[in-house]
This record gives sequence, C-alpha cells and structure tokens, in this order.
Amino acid sequence: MSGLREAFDQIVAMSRSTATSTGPSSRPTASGVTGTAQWRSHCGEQPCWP
Amino acid sequence: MDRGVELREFVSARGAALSRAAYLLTGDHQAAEDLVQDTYVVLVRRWQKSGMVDPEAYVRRILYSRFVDGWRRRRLVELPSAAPPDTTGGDEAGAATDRLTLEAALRRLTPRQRAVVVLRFYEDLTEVQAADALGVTTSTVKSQTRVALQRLRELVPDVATSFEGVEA
Repeated sequence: MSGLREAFDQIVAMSRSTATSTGPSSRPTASGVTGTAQWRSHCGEQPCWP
Repeated sequence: MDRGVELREFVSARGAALSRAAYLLTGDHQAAEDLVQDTYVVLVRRWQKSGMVDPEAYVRRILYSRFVDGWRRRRLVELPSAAPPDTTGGDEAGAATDRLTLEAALRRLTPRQRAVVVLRFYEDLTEVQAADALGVTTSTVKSQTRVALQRLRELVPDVATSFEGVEA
C-alpha cells in the first residue's frame, strides 16, 4: 500500500518538475471561450504550440 | 468568520492537494486544472449557503463525481498504447521508467477504477470514505479496487511488487 502511495507521490512530483507553461490557458476568457477551445478551432485536436 | 475568508482559507489549505489528485485522475495538467476549477465553481455556489458540515468531504465528492460521471469539457489526449513501455534495463533510470509505466497504466483503468485507486491508495481513504466520495456502495469500492489492482498488476508486473499484499 505504501508502495503505491510512494509511486503516486513520485508521479505527481515528476509531473510538476516537468510541467511547462507552454500552450494556451484553459481558463475561460471574458467571452467564455477558453484558450484550449481556441487552439482546437485553429488546429484541430492537436495543439500547435511547440 | 466571514464566509469569503473561510473559503479562501479552505482553498489555500486544500487547493494543492486537490490539484495533485486531479492530476492523477486526468493524467494531464490542463485537464486537472479544468477539473479543479469546475469543482471550485460548484463549491463557491454551495459555500454561500450555510451549513456545510464537512467541506473537505464535499469538495472531494464534487471533484471525483465530476471526473467519473462525465466530465467531458476537455477530451484527454492520452491514447493508450498497445502495451505499456518496456521497463527492462535495470539502470538508474529504471525507477523513473517504472513511474511512467505506472502512470500510463493508471490511465488505462476506467475512470471509476482510477478514482477508487487514487482515493484508497493516494488519499488513504477508507472504503466507506471512498464510497461516500463516489456516491457508491462500499461493495462497489471493494470490487472496483480488486479489479483495478489486478489490472495494474497485469499492466506493470515490474512494479507490482510495490503493492503486493494490497487487497481490496
């Protein structure tokens, strides 16, 4: 059980260390459109940022 | 104390933990962020009313139920591969590879199985608490846990030893 907990902790820690700020914000804008929705309409399902 | 202040203090105290759980559920930072934000929207509406006895249990119910019951605003881009990545090699990168493999395997569980595993073995909740969070019976939690662990053992046998002895 502790092994799973440790593994999950490591997954989270690793994800945080590799997280980047690239890509659009998924926060809704004043118009209610998210950055994610905007890139979807622009690029389809795949993001176009590096 | 002012309800707004209480809410800010609650979010300040619990926000990071919610985000970590949401990441384990979704496997994606933006999806996790959206899930947490959706949860906060519901929480804020409910917070205006008095009488919330256990806000932590309440917010957990929102988060997990929204994940399991059709949170679809953002389709997850994770496409399961035919097989988990090869973890052989035994070098010092092995531990990191194992984590990635477990993470990939976690995403191949059904949403409810994933939620049960995160609730039981990451949040360390009892079966009763996990059942409350998901709005299901403890029998369902037990059966879903058993199936999920079996699936993880099949998918990531190299790291299965880390949770040997874990029973639903």
